[in-house]
Amino acid sequence: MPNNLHASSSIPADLRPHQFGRAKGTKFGWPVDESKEWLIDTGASIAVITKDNADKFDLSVVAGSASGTTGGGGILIKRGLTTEFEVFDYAGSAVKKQCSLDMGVKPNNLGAEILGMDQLNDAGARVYWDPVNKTGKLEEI
Amino acid sequence: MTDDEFAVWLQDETQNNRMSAAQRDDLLAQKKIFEINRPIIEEKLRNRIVGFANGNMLVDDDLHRLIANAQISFPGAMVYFEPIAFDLY
Repeated sequence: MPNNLHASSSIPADLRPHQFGRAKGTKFGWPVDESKEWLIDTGASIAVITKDNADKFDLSVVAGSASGTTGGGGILIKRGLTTEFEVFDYAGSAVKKQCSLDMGVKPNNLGAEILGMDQLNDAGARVYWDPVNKTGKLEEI
Repeated sequence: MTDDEFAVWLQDETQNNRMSAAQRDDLLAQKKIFEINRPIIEEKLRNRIVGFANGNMLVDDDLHRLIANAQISFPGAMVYFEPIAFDLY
């Protein structure tokens, strides 16, 4: 069975699913296309990126909160970033999905770049994950 | 994040041209209105997302929808929000 999820490349003992994908946008009018290792976080309602990664793009702020995250951290909601990740279609072929929903930006660089359930919902995808063998997949519903 | 930490963060965003001064001031103003209403919000609206835009309360279960509705009603306005008694991530 093909898989497109894996353990964290930087923290192999991490039991949570990750996938290499991309973040796309612009900076000063020029295209920016960055490789990202997304944490597929079933506990996240929205996608979130770290401050320094967000600063690589020109993003428009639309909302903010001083609370609302585990540990009581703040979050700014910004527009202008497109995530790209891979899902298997009905035939089992790997296809790239892109999502341009607003994203959360952390006030710091702690933790992972998070692909939230809003993005999987937007892409019509579901997640299977085996934490024992650290393998799994995103696939179309 | 304390009020002071939030204000410092927004100031940093403004100084680095990631947010205008008007957006910063609007967001902080909406937060003040939220704080005035916090007791009733936390009593009556648990497990909802509550926001303020242009001085008006918005309540939804979906943050994207809350922001979209705010922008329809108050174009260009900042939205200060909090999920009540749960975390977004």
